[in-house]
Amino acid sequence: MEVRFHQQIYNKGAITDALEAYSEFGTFDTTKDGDYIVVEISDPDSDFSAVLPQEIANYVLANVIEGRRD
Amino acid sequence: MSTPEIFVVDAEKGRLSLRLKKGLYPMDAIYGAAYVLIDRSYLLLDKDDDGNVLVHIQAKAGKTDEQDLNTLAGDFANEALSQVLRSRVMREHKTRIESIISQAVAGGLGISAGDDLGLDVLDGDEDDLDFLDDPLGIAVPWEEKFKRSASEERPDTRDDGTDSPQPTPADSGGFQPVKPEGPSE
Repeated sequence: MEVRFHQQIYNKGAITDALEAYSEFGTFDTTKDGDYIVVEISDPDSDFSAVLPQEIANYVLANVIEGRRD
Repeated sequence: MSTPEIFVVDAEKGRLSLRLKKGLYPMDAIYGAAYVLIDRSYLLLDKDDDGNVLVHIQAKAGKTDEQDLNTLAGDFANEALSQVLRSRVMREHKTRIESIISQAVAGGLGISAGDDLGLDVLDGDEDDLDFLDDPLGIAVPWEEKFKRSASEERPDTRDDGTDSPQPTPADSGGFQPVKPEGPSE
């Protein structure tokens, strides 16, 4: 499974921060694909695999918004 | 195209996607609206080739029907509009708001504009003051402070060494005829 973050909306720092926060719940690999930063999720925690991509997306979004307020 | 346009609804998975026309909502308003909904839905923002912003929303609540999703979409659109208005009000009244806040903070500290707190006394070499020291004379009782000056102003208590008679209640200014001076007949 993967999550695609548009670079005009999300920033790299917010994504890195989120992946660190969720490092216990899976293995992540980050690549670039045009305008997108793509996060590949492997070996997700079985209890959270259904919502892990969405939770990461929310965390990244919150990071971006809170970063803009500083 | 209505704005925001709902272009994907998947009630089974509790997902829908909105398209917000480019330039209609500033990004700050979209971020603000997303932040408000982030506790009850999963959000992923995206852009299409025309620069329109796409908002993918998935309800966190387990079971959702199409009406719930439409409500969620409506809430997002309303909040985005509210954010636009809020930022516009903030921009238009920025100076006034800053002025009110600074006055309120100064009032809370007991300072009014142009006040001289007289704290210069505490500057410089006075750092070694004991807690009993009172350079500003705050601890002097009222009676002690005003006793001397009050007695100085009262003529009946003045002690200037002369033998002037003390005024009595009879000296209240009654009629005192004066013998006219002039040629007598």
